[in-house]
Amino acid sequence: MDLESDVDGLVARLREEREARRGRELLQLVESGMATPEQREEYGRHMESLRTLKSGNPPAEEMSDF
Amino acid sequence: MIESESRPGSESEPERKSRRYDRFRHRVMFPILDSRGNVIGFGGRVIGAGEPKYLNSPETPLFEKGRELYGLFQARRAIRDANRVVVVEGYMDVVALAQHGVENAVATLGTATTPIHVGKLLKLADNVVFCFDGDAAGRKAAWRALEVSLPVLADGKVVSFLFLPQEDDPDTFVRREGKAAFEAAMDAARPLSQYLFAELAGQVDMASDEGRARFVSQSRPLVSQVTAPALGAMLRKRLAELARLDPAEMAALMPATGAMAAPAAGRRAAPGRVVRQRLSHLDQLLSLLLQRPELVFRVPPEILPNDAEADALRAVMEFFAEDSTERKRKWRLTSATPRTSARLSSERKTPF
Repeated sequence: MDLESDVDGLVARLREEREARRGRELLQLVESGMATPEQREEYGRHMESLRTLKSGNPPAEEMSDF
Repeated sequence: MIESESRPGSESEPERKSRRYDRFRHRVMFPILDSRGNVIGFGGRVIGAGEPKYLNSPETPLFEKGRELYGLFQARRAIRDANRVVVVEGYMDVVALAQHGVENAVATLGTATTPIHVGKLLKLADNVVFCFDGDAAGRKAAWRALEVSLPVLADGKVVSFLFLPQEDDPDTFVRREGKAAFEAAMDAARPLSQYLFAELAGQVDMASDEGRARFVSQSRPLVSQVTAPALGAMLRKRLAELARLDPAEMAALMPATGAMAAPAAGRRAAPGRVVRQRLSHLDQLLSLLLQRPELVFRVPPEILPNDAEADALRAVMEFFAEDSTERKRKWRLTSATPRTSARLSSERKTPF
């Protein structure tokens, strides 16, 4: 069994869930007018990353060290 | 190394270089068994006056108080037969209850209830009754048990709370009143939903808008931890009734998310069929790490959410990470010969 890739897959899913949670928090802050400039900026970055993902063009992979 | 780490710890070393003495001297010892019936530690109650009243073996890789329950191995069959387990505070409570025919009792090991405890018990029975003393300490312990139960509850499982009169504990109660009275008291235990809202409502003025708003804000983080769809929906409905909000207002304040949302059409279970809940990502990860602890280093701790379920996983990860680091260190010390040490040392000098 390839448990390593299973773990990596779950880590990726948990990372996505964390991003989604953070996105919801930021959305609430922005909508309630309580967001700091940094949080607004973070929210902008978050939305941008969502747009990239939803357009079907995943972000470029990191360059390999080799 | 394993032998020394897993020793149940029945001796103390007050002064490392001087004599040893029995950790449990002048105490009644209670053997604590794992799920296979192996002794993994002891609890000791002082005979007569003295402090501390209870003393346990130190924790080892085999004996973690947050995972184990006193009496669980012996009570398994009775728990399954009754489809109910009662959790009490003391070892003597378990013994006295068993002596009087209430054999489905277990006790925590002098620690607060953990999600691991609740998860273990809910696997064995559909009904878990927490029986605590009616004093402040008992109420605090009950609230902690409620908090850790919320995320692990499933539809069809019932967690309830039984508070004995202040002057009683299960031991004295069952000796005086007998098995039937104790079982009747368990039948009358307050279900989690009632206890949750009654406690929170008791802390505010429910006659005022401000009080009810506070009640909602205190209830919301707790209710939203319930992932069981039907129970979650019922709690939200009850919360709306108590706060005098209509369902739409409550839905706006607390939208149903994830597992709490209605199941998709066509995936409804047949009547009477037990639905096995899909394992969460955290549960799946825990399962994989238990099979291959060394994979813990592939999981960045910061990706875990801040909730009780993740706390349990975080604790397991910390344990595995420490254990693995220690193993690697010991392996290097024991396996590196002078020659390989020299080679490793020379390798470290190269830029790669």
